[in-house]
Amino acid sequence: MSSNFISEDLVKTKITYPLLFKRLWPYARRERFLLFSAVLAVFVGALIARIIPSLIGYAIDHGIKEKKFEIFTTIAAIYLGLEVLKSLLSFANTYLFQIFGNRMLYHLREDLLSHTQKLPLQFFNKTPTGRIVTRLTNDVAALGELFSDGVISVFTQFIVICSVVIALGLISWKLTFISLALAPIFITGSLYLSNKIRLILHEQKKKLSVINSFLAENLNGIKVVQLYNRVRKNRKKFSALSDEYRDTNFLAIRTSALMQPITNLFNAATITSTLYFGGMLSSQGSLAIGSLVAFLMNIQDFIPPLREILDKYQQFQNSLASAERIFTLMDESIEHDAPSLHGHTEIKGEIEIRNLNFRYESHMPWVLKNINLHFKAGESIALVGRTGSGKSTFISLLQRFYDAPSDSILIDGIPITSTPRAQIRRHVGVVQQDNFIFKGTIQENISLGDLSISEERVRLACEKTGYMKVLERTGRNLASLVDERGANLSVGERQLIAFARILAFNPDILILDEATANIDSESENIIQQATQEITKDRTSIIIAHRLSTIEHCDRIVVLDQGEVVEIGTHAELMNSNGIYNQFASAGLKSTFNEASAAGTEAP
Amino acid sequence: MQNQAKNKKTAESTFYNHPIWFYIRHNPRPFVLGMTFLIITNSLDAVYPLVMKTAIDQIEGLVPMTEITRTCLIFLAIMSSLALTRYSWRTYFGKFHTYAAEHIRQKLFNHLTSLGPNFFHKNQVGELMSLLTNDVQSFRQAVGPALLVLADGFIIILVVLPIMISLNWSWTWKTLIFLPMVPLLIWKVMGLINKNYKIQQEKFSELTSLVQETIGGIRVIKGFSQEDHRTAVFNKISASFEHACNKVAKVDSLFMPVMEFGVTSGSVILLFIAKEDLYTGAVTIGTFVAFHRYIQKMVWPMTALGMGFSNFQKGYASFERIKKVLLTESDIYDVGTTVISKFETLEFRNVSFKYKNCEVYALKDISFKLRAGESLGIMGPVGSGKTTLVNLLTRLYPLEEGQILVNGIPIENITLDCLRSLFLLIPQEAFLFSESLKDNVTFGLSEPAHLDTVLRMADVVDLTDEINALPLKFDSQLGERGVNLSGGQKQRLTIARGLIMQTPVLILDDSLSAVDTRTEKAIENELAKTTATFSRIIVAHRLSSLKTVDHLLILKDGHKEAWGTYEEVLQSSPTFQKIIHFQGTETHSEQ
Repeated sequence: MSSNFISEDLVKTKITYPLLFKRLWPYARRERFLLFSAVLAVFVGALIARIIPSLIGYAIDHGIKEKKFEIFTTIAAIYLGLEVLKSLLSFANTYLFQIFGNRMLYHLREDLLSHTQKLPLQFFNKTPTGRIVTRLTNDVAALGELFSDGVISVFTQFIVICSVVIALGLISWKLTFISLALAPIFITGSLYLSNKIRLILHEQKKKLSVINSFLAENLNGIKVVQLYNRVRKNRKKFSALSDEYRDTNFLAIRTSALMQPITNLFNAATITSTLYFGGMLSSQGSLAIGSLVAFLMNIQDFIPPLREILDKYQQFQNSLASAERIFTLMDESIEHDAPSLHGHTEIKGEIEIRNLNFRYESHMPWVLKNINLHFKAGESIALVGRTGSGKSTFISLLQRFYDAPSDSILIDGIPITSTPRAQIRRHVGVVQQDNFIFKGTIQENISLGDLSISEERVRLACEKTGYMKVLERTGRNLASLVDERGANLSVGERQLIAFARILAFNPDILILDEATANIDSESENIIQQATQEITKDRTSIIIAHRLSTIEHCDRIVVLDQGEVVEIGTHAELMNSNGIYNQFASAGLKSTFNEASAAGTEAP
Repeated sequence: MQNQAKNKKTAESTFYNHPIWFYIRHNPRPFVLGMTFLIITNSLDAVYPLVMKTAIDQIEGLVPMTEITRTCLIFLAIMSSLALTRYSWRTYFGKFHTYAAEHIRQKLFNHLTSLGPNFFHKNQVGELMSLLTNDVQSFRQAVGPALLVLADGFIIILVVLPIMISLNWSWTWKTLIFLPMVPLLIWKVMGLINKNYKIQQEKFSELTSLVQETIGGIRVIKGFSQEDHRTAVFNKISASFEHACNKVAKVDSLFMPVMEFGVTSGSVILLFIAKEDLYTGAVTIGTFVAFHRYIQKMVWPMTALGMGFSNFQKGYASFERIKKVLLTESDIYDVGTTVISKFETLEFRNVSFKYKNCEVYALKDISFKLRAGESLGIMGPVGSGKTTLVNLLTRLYPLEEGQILVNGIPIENITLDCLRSLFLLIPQEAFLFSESLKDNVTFGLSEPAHLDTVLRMADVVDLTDEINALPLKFDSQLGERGVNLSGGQKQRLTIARGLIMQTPVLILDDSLSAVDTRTEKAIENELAKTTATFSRIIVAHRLSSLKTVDHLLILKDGHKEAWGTYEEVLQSSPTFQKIIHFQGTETHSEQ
């Protein structure tokens, strides 16, 4: 309507209305029919609403004054019909607009999620999970509110205002002009005020979120608060926050209440001037009394929609920030694959690394330096090194979570950069230290819901890893439910599920990041056997922490500060008296990973 | 004194039984003023169509312009006063209900902070948060807007109805015959809206947790190329959320038509019945217009009754929930009066403990004695009662069997403040607050600490380098918008937070698990530096953490399996022998 009433520093968003519409239009277009019907309902509704006062005016002028009894009955009947129609249309337009908006949001959410999933892993490392979740949920909801509460009602009310002005003008343009003379002043004043209100509401919202996070934190950390004798101090702190919020709340109410007198005064001015000048025109005989009544009825419909627009206007501004955040996420660049990549379904699993150098960003130090390796198909390799020696980076590169320079990693002689990501990840499977477990059944967690993986295959995978026996012993089966993040499973079980996943998906190359956390000796035993089962007949690279695992591998690669320092079998390296020898004789676990060496129990 | 207590008690019972009355009594000015202005507003509001009627009749009667002018001026005066009174009642009522809402929120918080872990096990933080936000909000809606809307509705009816009757009795009852249906319908629609809105909220949280999982497990999803499948699962929930939203939209859209039903029916009836009176000239056009206006005016009070009642119901339900929590008594009574200035001995005497709703004893018949300056290590498998023991000592749970004595005095007789300033427990889980690092370290201190002290503590737990690498160093904020610390860093920070307190007895409940042996040594040295009368109790799994303690307590299934020095325990405890066997390599490599 007019952005010059809002000083620049108040609007923190860069997004403008035209930009917003431009970006939302593709979604709106998908539901053209709904949109069109809703808009139509608005127009017809506004038209009918304007016919009614004229009808009553006509009844007065022709029915009463001319004493035409029969007209009056007809008019009453028409009036009834129009009112019913008006109610139906009012229902239709709100309902249609809302379902249209909901449909749009559905599409938007879908696009956002599938876009987000395509973002590079680095994005997820940089951005806290909570923030991304908010984009997809609360921000989309805020955008929906902006749409259904803001755009729709402003549009509808604007049409109403236009129809009122036209109706007024048709009755008497002179009187319209006079009675609405004060409108610009009213609008200016209200805009000024509504901007003030917006700022206060913003402040109020901020204070509420401070209160809420204070509360959440104190309740979650209640034990610490009590143990450190902080209860009294925190109560005082909360009282201060709450009082402050109360004052802001009150200020918001007081300021919003100012809107009332402004509207009332404008109302008074228009009606009084209508009565006064209408009376004058009427006494001159240029305005029939029925028309004056119709005029009065119409003009009282002018103010409510105007107020509504002004009210919504401030809501708009706050929701724009959400829209901006959503579009920023949409504009994050995704991992892109070159268009003409050829996949190959059958691979043997031979890996070659040629002069591999890698760093995450150009201003950061090298993580991997001049790596040259050759793994034969079916070979099992133990990767050994301190925290920060580049092991994790190395496996991320093999799965193309980050892109290594082209031609530096080849599988079966073909550079992995020329194979689509999805295919590479089918060939190269990873079991991580801490495996994410989804809410659902055990079966769903193993197949990940992939329909190409039959229940039979899942069962077989569980049997091979020995997980089936664990389930049977505890009286569960594949359909048993798993809590969020696998909270009802032990560390060992989570590991076994991840192993079963790998067997079910059956990748040609396996990468295993051995868990460092200690588990009870029985699970330990099962896991040892499962490890042998899953590494059988495929190229496997194991980031090993236990001597027993390393000894089973064909070759050992020792990484130190991003470089390969030793390579060979256990016996060879033990003889060479290098780093590996020191590691192995010092007791691997405590030396490799001292900081994360937990006790005998999982925390 | 007694009188005062009695007064307090009656005030409490007023609060629980008639909360609105309680708040009116405590804050009468804004309520009474608000009510007064509301009555004036509604009266003025009811009068102005009459003035309008006069003007129209005057215009129609072709009276001199001066008279019309006078009527117009009266009209203007009434409308201007309305502006003022409308502003006033809103403001006063606003003051009334914002006061009430924050009062109840503070009351809730104060009460919650006095409750022990037993309560928090039963009530999840999420639910309590909803109580503190949603329920407080709907309570506010009830004592504020709903009360107001109801009052408004009644006053308007009381003012407008007599005017209408005085204008024309037979028109009045005929046109308003369907009006009582409006509040009923509105109430029904509101109920539907609330019900469907709740479903929508549930679907929304379903959606949120799915997104949370997807983002959290993105590595697995990507690793197995399951992005498309994940989107399909998401779409299913997203569609059911959309469906729920549409349902809300449907009942929401019913609101206006139902409200308008009142005017429509009244206006249509008016047109049918008015013609004869107008025809015979028994009623003037001005009266007709004014009457039409009054019918419109009756719509709001009818809607208001339905709306107000519905919100009232909701607020009442919320208040009941709030009341239930407020009436939950703490199981940790702070009635002790003894204050101990110098810690001498700690004794457990036949202490047994069972958790609520639990058949098995978590601790059974534990007795031991510790003198100031001695250190104690506690070891045992998961679920052997180690944490329970230290929780009982710090009175997080009420002691039921046996006694814990400090300097020979049962801990229940010591003030809670004093007890917790003698024994400081650093719990397993590293919980930090979204404040600056410095504020977190000095969390428990009653007076602000010198930065040097903070720096020294950070040095002890080996955090100095890591913190100095942060742009704001010790002023870095933690939490959503602040820096992210790793699990190990967090735990070391909680240890620093405990060390700085210099309490006579420091209890580390497995807090050293994320600390390497070198830092462990530094912490030990720091503890040794403080006076010789200071003790520590260490719950640990790693043998290295327990090498230097004076006594070792080995727990198994809640029983005391062994007590004594390292060598003594090694002889007598099979559990300890097993641990030694398991951690053998590690300890050897360290020695």
